[in-house]
Amino acid sequence: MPNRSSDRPRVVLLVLMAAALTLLTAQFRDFLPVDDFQQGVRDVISPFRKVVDRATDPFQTVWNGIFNYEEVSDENERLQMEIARMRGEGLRDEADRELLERLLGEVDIDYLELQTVVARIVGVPGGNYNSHVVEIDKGTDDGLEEGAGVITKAGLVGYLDEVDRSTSLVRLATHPDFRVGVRLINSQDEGLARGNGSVGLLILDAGINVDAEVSIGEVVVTSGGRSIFPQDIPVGRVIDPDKEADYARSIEIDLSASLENLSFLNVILESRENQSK
Amino acid sequence: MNTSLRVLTVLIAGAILQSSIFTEMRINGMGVELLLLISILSGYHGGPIRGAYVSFWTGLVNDCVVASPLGIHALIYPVIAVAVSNLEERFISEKQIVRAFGIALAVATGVLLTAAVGHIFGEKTFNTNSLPETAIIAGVMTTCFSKPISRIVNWTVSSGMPKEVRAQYAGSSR
Repeated sequence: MPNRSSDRPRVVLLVLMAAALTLLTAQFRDFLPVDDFQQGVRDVISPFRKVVDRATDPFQTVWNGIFNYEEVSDENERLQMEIARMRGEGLRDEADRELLERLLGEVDIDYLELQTVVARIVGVPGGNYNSHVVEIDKGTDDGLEEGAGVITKAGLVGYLDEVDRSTSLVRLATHPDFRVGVRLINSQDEGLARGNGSVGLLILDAGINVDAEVSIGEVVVTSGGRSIFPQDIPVGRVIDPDKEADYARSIEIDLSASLENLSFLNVILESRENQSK
Repeated sequence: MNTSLRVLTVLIAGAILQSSIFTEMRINGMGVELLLLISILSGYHGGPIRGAYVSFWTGLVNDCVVASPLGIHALIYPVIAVAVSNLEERFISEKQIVRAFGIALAVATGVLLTAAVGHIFGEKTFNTNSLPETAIIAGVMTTCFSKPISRIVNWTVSSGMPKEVRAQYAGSSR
């Protein structure tokens, strides 16, 4: 019979925990083989995963029909309302767009001309912890690099957090660890905005003076510079300028891109060096 | 097929299933923790030492699949497996419903512990307001798949064990 003394499992457990902590330390110190190992495992299972996904697609459809019926129904209703709103307010939307374009034109913004790769969202990563992260169907084989900015025509979405051969993970702007340098169009004040885990919101709470003039509805764009994002990508509009702050302002920005209803994204291909040329 | 090869096969199959069908099967955004279930059952069927080894590798695979820092799940899963193994003797003669409750509890504990460790290491999305709800729903959903997975894990980790040991560890096969 194997040795079942009470000490041996404890020793094994301690050794394994030490090994896990060593791996964690290596990861946080950017020890490259650790990242490569993770990417390798994902690359190996990726083709099998696609086969299983296709094979179980009918089952997944049935599951979604049963357990997510309300969500599907709500989305259907939301889309119908959206169509109605777009039809009814087409003129106002056009006027808004013209106003935005005029505002962006004043600062010579041409973000729509950036060289990008169109990617489709394939889902969210496995497990129960990865909120504010989505997976796309493009990777290093398509020329994508870690840290590349991700946008839609409506504006800022996030950046590439992990890039495998054929898929990538996008960290959305609402992720609590997301940071982006931004500029207020009217005042030209610059600051650092962050995600806070709330849907559709960014918080601008660094770099803006307490007495700065910020108005509701003011357009916010990326500030560029040392940021991974090119400058002048639309971020959103101010919905709460926090004018009554005593010490530090916490300005709420409503993201212009609707991150909950994304299907396709544009990944910026141009590197920072190329943009500054 | 030797034990290592069986474990490797089960881990690869588990990783593929976790990242494909079990990613889509969600209720309110919460899903099955298949690899955590494999860890728990490896402790249950394989004993503390074999369970700890298998669950360590299961945790590493899960870290790769969900793109979390390598080692977070591998730090927690062996602890859960050893704890389950130590409690296994008390539950071996209990009714199926009690064992199912034990598995749900172990999964929920695993989810909470992983979130706590993730939070300590600065992974902010690991600790959310909905964490208790996530742990409960993940525990219940995962338990629903425990019976077929239990047979597979039993086949995987019990090979090579003497019969009397297998009878002691592998409760469901007795």
